Amino acid sequence: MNSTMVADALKDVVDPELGINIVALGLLYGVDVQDRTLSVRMTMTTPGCPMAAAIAQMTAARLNTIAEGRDVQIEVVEDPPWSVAMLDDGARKQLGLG
Amino acid sequence: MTPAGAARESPPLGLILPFFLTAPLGLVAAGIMLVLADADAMTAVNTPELLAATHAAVLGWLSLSIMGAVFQLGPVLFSGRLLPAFAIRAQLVLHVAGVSLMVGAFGWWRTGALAAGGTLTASSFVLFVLNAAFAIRWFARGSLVRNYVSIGLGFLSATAALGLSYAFALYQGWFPLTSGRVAAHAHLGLAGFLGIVIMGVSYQLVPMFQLSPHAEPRFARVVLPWMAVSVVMFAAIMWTDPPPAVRVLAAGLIASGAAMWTYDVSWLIRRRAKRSFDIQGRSTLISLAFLTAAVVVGVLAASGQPAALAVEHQRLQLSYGLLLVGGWAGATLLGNSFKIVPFLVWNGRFRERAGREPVPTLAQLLHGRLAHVTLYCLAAAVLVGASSASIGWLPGLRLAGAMLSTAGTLQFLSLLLVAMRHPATNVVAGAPAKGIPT
Repeated sequence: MNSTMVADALKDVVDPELGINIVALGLLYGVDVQDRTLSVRMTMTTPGCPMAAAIAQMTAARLNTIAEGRDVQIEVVEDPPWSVAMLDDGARKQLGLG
Repeated sequence: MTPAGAARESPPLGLILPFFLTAPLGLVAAGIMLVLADADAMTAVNTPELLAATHAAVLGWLSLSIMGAVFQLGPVLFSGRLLPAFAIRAQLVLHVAGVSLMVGAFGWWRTGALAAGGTLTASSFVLFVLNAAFAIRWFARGSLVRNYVSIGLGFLSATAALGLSYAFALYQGWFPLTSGRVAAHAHLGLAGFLGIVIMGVSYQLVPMFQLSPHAEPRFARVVLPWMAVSVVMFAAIMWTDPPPAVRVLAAGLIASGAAMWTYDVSWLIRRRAKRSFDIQGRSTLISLAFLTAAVVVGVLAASGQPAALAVEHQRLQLSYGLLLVGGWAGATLLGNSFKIVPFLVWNGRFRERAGREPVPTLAQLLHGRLAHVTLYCLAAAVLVGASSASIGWLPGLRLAGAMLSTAGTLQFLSLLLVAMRHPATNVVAGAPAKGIPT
């Protein structure tokens, strides 16, 4: 397992408000795969997002399906803050940004 | 963050949903009262039907929506906690009973029943303020939105206390209720409680829903003290029934606060990343237009001399009230209810499945067309009502009442349809399990 495989799996996690997956939104800041742990560092589109807990839970649920016994750890950070520049092309199109 | 820990942050669906489902019934009642209005409504804003309509809309429709929003968002945004469920349910029962009694008492002018209804409603507000204080962690520091809501709750307490004293004044003849004193009470509630809470929550929700940049808008820290001081000054001045020049000055202060907030929200909307507007975005745009109109009409009404416009003073007050209550506050809270209720239902029924199987998005839980029809029906009702009031056309006011009742019914149906969505009836078959849904 590597970071790319984890990121691919997290494309299944869709922000329920925006209808766009968290990887396309640029919410995924980092992935660390170790022998016993699978750690993900991520953010939200806005500070104090009411969806934060739900999205973290969805992410954990998806990671648990690929963790192969590893302990799943999720860290939600607000620094650096999310910005439009983090969107991928598909998400930009979905939001009408061209 | 662990999933188990995260799950504790949101209050149960069954506890909060009844507030949102009950709220539109207040709009239905307000509309019915306008339909029943007689010709006196065009000569004074304190006729029984208009007082009943105002209190049904403000205490029923808008206040119940705000209560639900504070209970939902408080624990999530501020890590607060709620009182035991029975206290929340008891508050809802007290509130519905009190407001129903008050609206009936106003409509059929029974001052004893008004005092009783006012007492029940004030009791509900005491419970609400207590509960909300825990939900938002009232005395904690460090959040602009919390400061707005906290000050708004202070104004709610003052409004309820003054309103209750008015109810007993009518019943026992304690003191005369002049138009200035009525205006003081109305603005403590509308601009102090509703206005400040809506402004503060909008600083959180507009950028969140529209994906606006994280930068703080220019006047975000100025609007709160400006509005708070202006409303207190306005209420104190109006208590003495001052001359028009003083009224205009006091109204102008509140209008300036509203203008600064409108500038900020417009700035947030202009810089949004989400280019296409959804129901909440459209509601916000419509509400801003109504607020702008309300500010202009309100200052004219305060001048007491709109004769140059060939419009009678009291008619402008009615027009102003419709624009502010139904147009600005109403459209704002309507749009937010179409976001919050789908979130509640999703969180309560679909969240546990998310990440493991396809689940609907929030937008898919809402019947978008019905929600938009509701918004446009409300906007049309306010336009018809405000225009009719300003020219003294009673049939138009009654038509607006019927349209408001229709909007309330449609809002209720829209939210009920969301509330009925359940994983077993999940109709989003075909929602992709991976990537961007189509």
